[in-house]
Amino acid sequence: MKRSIWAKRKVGLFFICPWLIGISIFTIYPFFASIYYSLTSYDVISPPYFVGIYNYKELFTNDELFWKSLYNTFYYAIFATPLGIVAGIGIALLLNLKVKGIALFRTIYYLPAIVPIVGASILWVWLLNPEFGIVNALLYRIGVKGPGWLADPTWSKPSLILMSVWGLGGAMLIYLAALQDVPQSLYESAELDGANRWQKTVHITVPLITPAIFFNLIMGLIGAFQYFTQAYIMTGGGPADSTLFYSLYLFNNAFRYFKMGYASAMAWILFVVILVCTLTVFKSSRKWVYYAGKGL
Amino acid sequence: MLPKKRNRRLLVVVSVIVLLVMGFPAMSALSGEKVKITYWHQWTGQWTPVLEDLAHRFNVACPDVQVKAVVIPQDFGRKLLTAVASGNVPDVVSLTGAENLMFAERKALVPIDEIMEPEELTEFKDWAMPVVTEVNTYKGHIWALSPYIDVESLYYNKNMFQETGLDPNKPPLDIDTLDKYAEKLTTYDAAGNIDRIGFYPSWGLDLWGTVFGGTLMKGDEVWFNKDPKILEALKWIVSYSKKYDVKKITAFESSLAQERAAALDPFISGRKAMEQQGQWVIINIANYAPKGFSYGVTPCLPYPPGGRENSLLVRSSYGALAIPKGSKHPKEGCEFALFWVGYGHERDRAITMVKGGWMPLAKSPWSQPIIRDYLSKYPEFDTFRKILFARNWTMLKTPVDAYLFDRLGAARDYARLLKKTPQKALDDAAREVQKELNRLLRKR
Repeated sequence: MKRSIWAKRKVGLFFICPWLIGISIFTIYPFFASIYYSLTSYDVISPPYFVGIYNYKELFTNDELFWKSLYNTFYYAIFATPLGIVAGIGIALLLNLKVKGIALFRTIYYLPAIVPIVGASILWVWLLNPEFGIVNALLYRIGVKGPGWLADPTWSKPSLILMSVWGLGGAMLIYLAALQDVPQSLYESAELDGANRWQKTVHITVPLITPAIFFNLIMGLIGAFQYFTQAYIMTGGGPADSTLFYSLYLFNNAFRYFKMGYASAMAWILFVVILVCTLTVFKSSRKWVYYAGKGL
Repeated sequence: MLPKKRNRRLLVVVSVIVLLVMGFPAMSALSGEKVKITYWHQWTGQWTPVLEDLAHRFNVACPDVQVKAVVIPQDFGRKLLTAVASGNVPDVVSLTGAENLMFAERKALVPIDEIMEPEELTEFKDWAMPVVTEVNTYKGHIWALSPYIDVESLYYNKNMFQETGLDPNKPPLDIDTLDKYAEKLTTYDAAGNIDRIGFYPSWGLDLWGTVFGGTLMKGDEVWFNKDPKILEALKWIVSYSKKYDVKKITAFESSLAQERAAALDPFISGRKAMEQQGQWVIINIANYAPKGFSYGVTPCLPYPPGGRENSLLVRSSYGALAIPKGSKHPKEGCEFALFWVGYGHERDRAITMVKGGWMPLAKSPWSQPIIRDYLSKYPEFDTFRKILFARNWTMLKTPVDAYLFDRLGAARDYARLLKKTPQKALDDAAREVQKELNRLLRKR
């Protein structure tokens, strides 16, 4: 009996072998190797040279761009993540209404999420063009002189935050699913108690979709800290370092200045930052996330 | 008994196979089979066929070697570094510019002086302009050969000069006149946005700093924040932000950001009345400019009192030909590099110039009839030739070129957007670059 189970396991293992080999070579090994490389000076061609904690020390004490990139990333995370949650829930609430053609609206709002990120970035460069862009053209119509958006250091980060709302489809879908999971009976009993629409939203809907909010908050935070592609394509870190996000600076160090050890150290700092933020959110979740059958 | 016999038979078969496999390359060499080499470059779009034609002409001229040109459109440096690290390298490459000395510093290239025979190298040096090897000389070795260098001057639109009441035969030759003309030639739309700009110093501070007579680096010391002429150049760039309103100028410049295709060049499309540009634009104008487009080129970039006439900044040249470490055919790769430069193949070099606009860095190809015809067809090209042969070049060689480029660009941005004073922007960038350089020097 035992033997036949083992024989079955062998077949199973054989079939997942490509994945196991892949993750070992391309994820697990680099993950651990980067701990070692972060303690070295390494440029790919010459052998790594052990420097101890020098890279970490340099980053914290002698690299203004490291702090600048960290500031830019926190700025983005602090604004884009909550905005994503509020806008995502807002759209999901609207798309949860029982109106004619709702399937069409849902499709329309989800569509941007499936547009490849590179294509979307190039599209937004044009939308936000200070002279020819449609955004400034619309603002001009209502008598507002639009800013320089991506070309202006004051507006470049807000521009990218604004753009992030456009791609909310994925999060919105999760909120929509959570909304549809809210028991109708709760609304009915609230109505009997005389609750209005706002009270129902605040006291029933929002508490019951907190697991979805929690999930999107964690994913949003991780995504925000790893923000890269849009900045790489749309601004290249400029103007005046205003969109030099952490991952972009890490990328530059690794693949433009070929300082792999330094970049590995940066990657580990990012890992710790994300870990601390995620654990903090997890810890706080006990106070505000309600699971059906537990808190209610 | 039987197994022994079988073993012997097996041994014979294996030996025959081994001999065949090992002897094949030697046999093919004896039978005159061509040595196949690979050439990596980055010229996309309209330039790719020119490079393919160059490879084809090499294959005809040197029948023993067959080169295959491969275009690497993006992340060239990263891909080359990975190739060198893995040992699977192309035989010859055109480097990216900013990464040339970084590759030399890390010994990812085979020095040209170790591939060429000393006499051949001496002869070659006599034939070529010194810049071909000098810009690529670092720590006592020649790491690459530059087949051309870009030369810049000021293009101006004669039609617009006439419309504005300026004499089309008297373009600005100094910075004061350039500024005055720029103001006259600038037009605005109904909303008050810049519709056409007379001139804007959109190119790097390295270029204009040198024109102003400044020095960016002195050996291993970052000098650009200490040189008053570099500061003067940056203040001049900033003066445009103040004169034209920084928001308007930024909006205008970013509206051009996407117009980098030849046909949409802002000078050709009429959005700039004057523009600093390289010699290659002549071909673009010939191919893409609207009918009746009339332009001129100033004898050299306008410069202020105390600046450099015929200034030519040569920094880690783009397209320099090098042999990566691990190349299986360095000799043949070098042979192709010499062909590209035009050594012993002057006519072919002349053809490459006519097709791609890359000016030869030796005297002899210029006397080829094909170039003489070309110069009579496009007389503006002669202006660039004269600047080149004035040889007033400033070489900028540092292994942290990519970093210097980025930080100098950021300094220009900070100052131009009025976020920092020019001196503060330069000081901050200089501190960063010096730190980076020291880090690399300490490692040695």
